[in-house]
Amino acid sequence: MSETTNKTISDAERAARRAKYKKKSELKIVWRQFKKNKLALFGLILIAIMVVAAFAAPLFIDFETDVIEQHVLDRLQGPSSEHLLGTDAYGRDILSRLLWAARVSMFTGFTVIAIGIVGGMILGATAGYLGGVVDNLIMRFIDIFLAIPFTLMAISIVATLGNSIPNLILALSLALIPKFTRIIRSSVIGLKGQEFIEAAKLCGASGPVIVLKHIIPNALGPIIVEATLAVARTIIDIAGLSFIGLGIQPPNPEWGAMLSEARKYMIQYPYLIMSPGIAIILTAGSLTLIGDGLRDALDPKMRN
Amino acid sequence: MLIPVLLGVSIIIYSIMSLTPGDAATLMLGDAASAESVAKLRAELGLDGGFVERYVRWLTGVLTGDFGISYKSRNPVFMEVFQRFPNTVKLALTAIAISSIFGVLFGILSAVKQYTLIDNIVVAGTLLLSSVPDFWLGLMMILLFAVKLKWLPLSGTDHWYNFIMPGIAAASHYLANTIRMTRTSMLDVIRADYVRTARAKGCAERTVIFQHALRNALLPVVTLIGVNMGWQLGGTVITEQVFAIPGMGSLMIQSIRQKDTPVVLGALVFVALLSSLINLATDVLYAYIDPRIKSQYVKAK
Repeated sequence: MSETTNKTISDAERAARRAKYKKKSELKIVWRQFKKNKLALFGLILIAIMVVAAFAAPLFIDFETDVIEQHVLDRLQGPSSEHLLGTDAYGRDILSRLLWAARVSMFTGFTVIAIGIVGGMILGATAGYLGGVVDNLIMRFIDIFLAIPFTLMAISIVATLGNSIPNLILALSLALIPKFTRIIRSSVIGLKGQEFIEAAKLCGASGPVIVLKHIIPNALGPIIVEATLAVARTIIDIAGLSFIGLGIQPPNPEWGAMLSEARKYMIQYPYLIMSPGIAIILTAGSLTLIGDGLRDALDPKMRN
Repeated sequence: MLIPVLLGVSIIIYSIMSLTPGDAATLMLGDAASAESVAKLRAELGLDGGFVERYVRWLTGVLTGDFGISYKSRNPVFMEVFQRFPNTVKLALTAIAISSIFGVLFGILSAVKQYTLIDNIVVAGTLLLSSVPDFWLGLMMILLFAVKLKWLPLSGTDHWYNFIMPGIAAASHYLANTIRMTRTSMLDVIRADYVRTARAKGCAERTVIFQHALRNALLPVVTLIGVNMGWQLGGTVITEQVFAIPGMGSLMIQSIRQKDTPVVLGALVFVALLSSLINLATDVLYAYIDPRIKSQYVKAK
């Protein structure tokens, strides 16, 4: 009976059905799940606004005159209609500097994560897929890196190689690679024994192809969640290193460096240290909300 | 496992320090010094010879308890590190105590009262704590408690209350992690069959939570606290800068700037050794909390 009903379905209906199934693609399911989480959505909107503002900053802020140039007559003025967040000890508009700092932090943060993920993928996938001696060697090496507390590691790298954004990126991503290596290795080991990997092997796919086309895409969930949370952490760390004078150097604007400059005046002018701190909290907080939302959305146990 | 890790740590740091431009002897004597006196000082400091030779010389010294002499102060490195060490340990221990005690307490509270107002407040607080930069929290506390209310001193290391604000600042991130971990772990355990059994046989709620659920839920938390402890020892650098605490962090930053390699190496190996030992201690503690692991070792005999 089912055969006859099947035959009577018109092409149009079939197309409609197909569309219905397509809708249920993994990404859509995750997005639908994610949307239910109001807090995560709020975080996403907040980050979107900040990214747009940071990207658009050069349209209405001039780097030389607004961000760097000092206006001694306007120094240490509290918030007003002309300077919404006030001016700093050199008479520079704090809002302009905050926005420009957002560009620096976001660029550095995302680059660090990108390098961390790629490095972690290469090491973790190699270790997990090959196993045996290679796995042992790589993981022992990772253990060595993990034995050095992260801040000390980053400080020694930045301090010895010199203060510059590339060195800061190097130091922070070196600290992240071990973390991602571990995550990726364990998902690779979990997936390695599954049937679809066996099938790909029987089809004659080579090791790198299997890892890149079949294993990595299936392990992306936890990687994305960790990456989102790691961006939040990295942005705080960039600020921390800059705060102790080891990251981005003044007069270049960076939230941590701004706090470090404002510290001298904070007792008389507390507003100076408010806004950079709140900018960090908003950025890191909304990234954390997104990360948590994604974790729940990707977890099949939470789907009903 | 401990020894190869430490060897690796020292090789990595030694390479970073020696690959960088700038020569300690030239730095100490100034650019005007003659090549002869620079060479003499280099020999005195043990800076002559190739990279491997210098590293081996340093390592044999360490094995006999001699960490070398600071280029700057000419004091033994061991002494330099030991002078600063107590302050860092006090700070790290305060932070660990705060994050562990309050972390577990709030974690349990939030799990037991899941979906209530208390739970929501704890979860929101956790989010805030994990997004606040610790040095900014430190600055804000200085403004509020030291400047405005004058309850606590601005800086100093002489009294226990000097460590309250730095301890909270250094703990903030770890506290958030511990609350999260305890809450998740408790929520998992509370739904387990043996907890239902305990309830069914009429145990008091307090007994169920503390005797049956908590002991099982604490396992991952203990690991987290152990790992945190190791990291805290090195992670207090920025907090030390905020509160002007003369600890290992400020010693290291200062030494790195002066290219005082022996001090940096000594301090790093010291911290790495300690955090590895703490991790070892965590594994042992694990066996005490979890009888299942203890029984494994008994069988292996």
